[in-house]
Amino acid sequence: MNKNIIIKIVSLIIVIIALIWTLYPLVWIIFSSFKAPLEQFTIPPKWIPEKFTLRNYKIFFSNAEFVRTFFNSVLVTTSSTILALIFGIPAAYGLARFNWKHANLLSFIILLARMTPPVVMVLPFFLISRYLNLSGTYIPIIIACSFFSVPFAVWMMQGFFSEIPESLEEAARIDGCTRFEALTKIVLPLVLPGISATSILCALISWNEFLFALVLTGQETRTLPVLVNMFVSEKNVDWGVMSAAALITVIPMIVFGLLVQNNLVKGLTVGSEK
Amino acid sequence: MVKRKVIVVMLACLLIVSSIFSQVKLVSEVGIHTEAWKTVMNDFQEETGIKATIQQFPYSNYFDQLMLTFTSGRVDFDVPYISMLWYPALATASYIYPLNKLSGYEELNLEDISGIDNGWQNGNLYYIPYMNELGGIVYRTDLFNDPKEKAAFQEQYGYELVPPKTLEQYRDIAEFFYRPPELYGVTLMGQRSIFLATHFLQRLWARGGNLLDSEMKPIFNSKEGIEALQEVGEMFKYANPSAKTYVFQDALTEFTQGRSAMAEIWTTAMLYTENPETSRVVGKASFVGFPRPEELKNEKLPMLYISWGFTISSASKNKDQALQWIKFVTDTKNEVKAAPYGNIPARFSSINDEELRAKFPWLEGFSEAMENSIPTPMVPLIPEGNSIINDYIAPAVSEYLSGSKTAERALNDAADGVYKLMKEHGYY
Amino acid sequence: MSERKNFNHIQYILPSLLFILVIFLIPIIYTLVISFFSWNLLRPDLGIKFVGFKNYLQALKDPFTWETIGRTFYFVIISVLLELIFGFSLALSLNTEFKGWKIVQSIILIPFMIAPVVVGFAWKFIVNNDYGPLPHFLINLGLTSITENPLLANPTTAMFMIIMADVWEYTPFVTLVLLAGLKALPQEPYEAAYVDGASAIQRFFYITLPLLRPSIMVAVVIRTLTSLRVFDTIFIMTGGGPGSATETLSFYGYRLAFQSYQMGYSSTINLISFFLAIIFTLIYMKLIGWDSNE
Repeated sequence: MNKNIIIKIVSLIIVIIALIWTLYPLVWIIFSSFKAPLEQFTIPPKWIPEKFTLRNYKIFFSNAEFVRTFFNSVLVTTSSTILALIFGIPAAYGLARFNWKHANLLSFIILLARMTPPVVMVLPFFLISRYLNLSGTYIPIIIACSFFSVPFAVWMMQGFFSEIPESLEEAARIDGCTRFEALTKIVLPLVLPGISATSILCALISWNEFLFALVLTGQETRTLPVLVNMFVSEKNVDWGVMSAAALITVIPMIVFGLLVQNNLVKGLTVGSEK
Repeated sequence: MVKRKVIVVMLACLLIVSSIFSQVKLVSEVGIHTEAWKTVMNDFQEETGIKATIQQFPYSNYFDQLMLTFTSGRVDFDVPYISMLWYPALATASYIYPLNKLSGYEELNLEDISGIDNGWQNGNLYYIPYMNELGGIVYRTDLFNDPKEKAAFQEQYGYELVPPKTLEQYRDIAEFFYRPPELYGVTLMGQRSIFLATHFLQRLWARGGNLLDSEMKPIFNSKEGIEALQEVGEMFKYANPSAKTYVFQDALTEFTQGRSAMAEIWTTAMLYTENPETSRVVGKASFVGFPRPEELKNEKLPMLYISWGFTISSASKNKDQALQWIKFVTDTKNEVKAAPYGNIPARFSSINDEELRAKFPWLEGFSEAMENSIPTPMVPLIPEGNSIINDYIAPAVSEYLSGSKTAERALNDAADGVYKLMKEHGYY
Repeated sequence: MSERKNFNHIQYILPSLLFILVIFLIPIIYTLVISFFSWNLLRPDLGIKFVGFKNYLQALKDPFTWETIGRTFYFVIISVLLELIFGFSLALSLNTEFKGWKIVQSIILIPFMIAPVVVGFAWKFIVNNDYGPLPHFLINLGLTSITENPLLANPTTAMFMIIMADVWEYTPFVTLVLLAGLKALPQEPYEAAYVDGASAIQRFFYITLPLLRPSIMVAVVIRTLTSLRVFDTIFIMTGGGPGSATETLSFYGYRLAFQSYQMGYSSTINLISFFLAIIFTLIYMKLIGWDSNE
């Protein structure tokens, strides 16, 4: 009994430390986003602003260009996530359901595409999109983001599909459904939680993508992660607006991520149950 | 079939319509002087009927974007607004066009533009400065004019406390105001970067030394060089210990927060110092050019010169409109109009303009320094320039400061490296 | 029947496979070709010259390449190790019965959702020597020796700060994977051990650890693979400095291409990164058993 109490106390302490550790930078950024520029530089630093100001948010939202980056991010993320699902779901289903002698090679290519460092791809991407006269459009950045999210969707959805017993589909097909109908009517509704988790994680990949966005986007197509970096000029950093922009960048993803957190873990650990 | 024809006709119409409204496409970074000239873009359209549009990139990858775009051969802008340090590479690659080959370039009234000599290369003019600044010292006027401080200084050093004209005075004043942790004598930029290299270059030049000789051989490991480097180390004694990690932003913040009496930075600092939103020393600061040793006080010597300005892309189909824009934006009237939004104009006639002087009294010190020095870019204007400063000079200064090498050894090693580099690139 | 199956299979997989191959292979082949050329963007007058294996020889001979690879591995090993230690202790703590753990779990997950750029920015801000809270906190703790030099200006601490940012962002991931593994553990071995009178520590080492091995493996390998690609936080926090103390392989490849403009050599370095990715992907497949015939 005594031991149990000790374990509980130790656990509690660890959890409290973890909470402080997690929230420390976040709370600092949140407070900083409400500070006036002069207050950013007090020594020693003060956590709570003496005067809460909305100046930083005003600067962000009164600039049409900044607001536009938000919508650019939404557009790029949505399109690339839809692409990822369109390409990824059938492929995942195919991989999960059929035995094919080249399946290993295929898994390898898909995994490798996911694991390749972005820096390897970014220069050819830029030059090719210029040659094809696509610069200034959303196409290069959307394609680049789906390049990361398609393999991810395949990889993750495969795990969800293989959990659905094949007998379900077979039963449906005996009732006269085609394989495609069995997929859409029986299997897809069952993996819906998996699809939602997959789309959130794909969205996360695209929303947070930085290097490709930095190189491939211009004035009109710029996304939020690049904007965060825009408040650093040669001679000056505006920490306040940067904090505000950082929070605006992260809040949507935190909200979506927490909505699907249970399935998220499941998707991320695909393969470990084997 | 019919549909397709309609589309073709529509496209053709679009092309014709767009060519009637002639336009010029500008490209720039995100920075205060760009914000300044953006304010006259509408006036330009009203006056000339040419529509000016702008694309901006974050400073950190602006040059990458330019280089890659030029390399790809699909250039979608006419006028790149760039740092002076970048134009030699672009000119060598003939990505930018010689302005003197365009008719009407003489109307730019070149003699009035300070530092214009740096815009010429191999007999061609590629670059028109718009924002000009010098490396010098910003100092706290309230401290320098305080009678108590003046008396104390007079007693301690035997001469009057004034903005430093000589290196000796500069050191004395830094020592005098060194009162840590509330106030430091001076602020420097000690992070291993191009900024740190400027502290060495300024002192090298002030002593009459130079980086390279006329044959492009390194000569900065001379006696003047060694003295200059040792003096950089000396000055750090009067600065915040954190200054060893500073770049421009940090040094500027330290000064605008009132934590140092002087800062060895660039004229632009004054624009930030005068902004009540971010500065605690509004109206309490001014600027002087970099000091000299006593014996060279009246010589015209190189002084650190930083500039941004306009160029014209070789691929541009609107070169005449582009030149018209440059003429318009660098016109004295428009420079003066835009300056309060965040620029230090390049024209003598602008920095001597009475109205502007009333707004920016510190322009006096700047103008004086500009006229009595040879404005010299911090990087030699050759394609290898950046590498010489970033890969050899900055590390050498950093190694001396950290104590891992003596001044002589650090400079000799750097000179060997530069010699090898230049030899490999076929200079000798 | 089996033929029909194959046909179907291709139909499902082909679009995705083509998409990946086209978008993947063209840039890789492009990079491969360029890696055999000398191409400096700053000197287009020198042209693009075929140099054979010169870039490769240079890369292999240059000690800097090996230092960079070493730094990359140092970063990966230390950060994955710390994430594992922190993640494990946290997962074990969260596996005890307690009301409110659900909310705690949600909060702890937050860093994982945050863009690496923002993580880098946040850490750069809080470790700022003058007006960031962390150095002052350390000074108040009496750890002045650490903060004598600004954290991002000292080669040792700068690398450690990058690692900290990575640990901050990805410990939640490791925690959740391990927690899911812990929750799925069977109860019988514990009951048997309890009957045998095994201590808590014995139970941990002889039952929990071996049974949790698959989850640990997955966490470690995924983290290794993703931390090999680290770029954003370095770009924001240190730009590879001071000196080259925080320059990893990805960042080196970027710097060569976008600051030195040596396209050929940069391609060579990038292919080395790519090669490492291949090796680790193969190891990963071996570990989770995707290479078996199932």
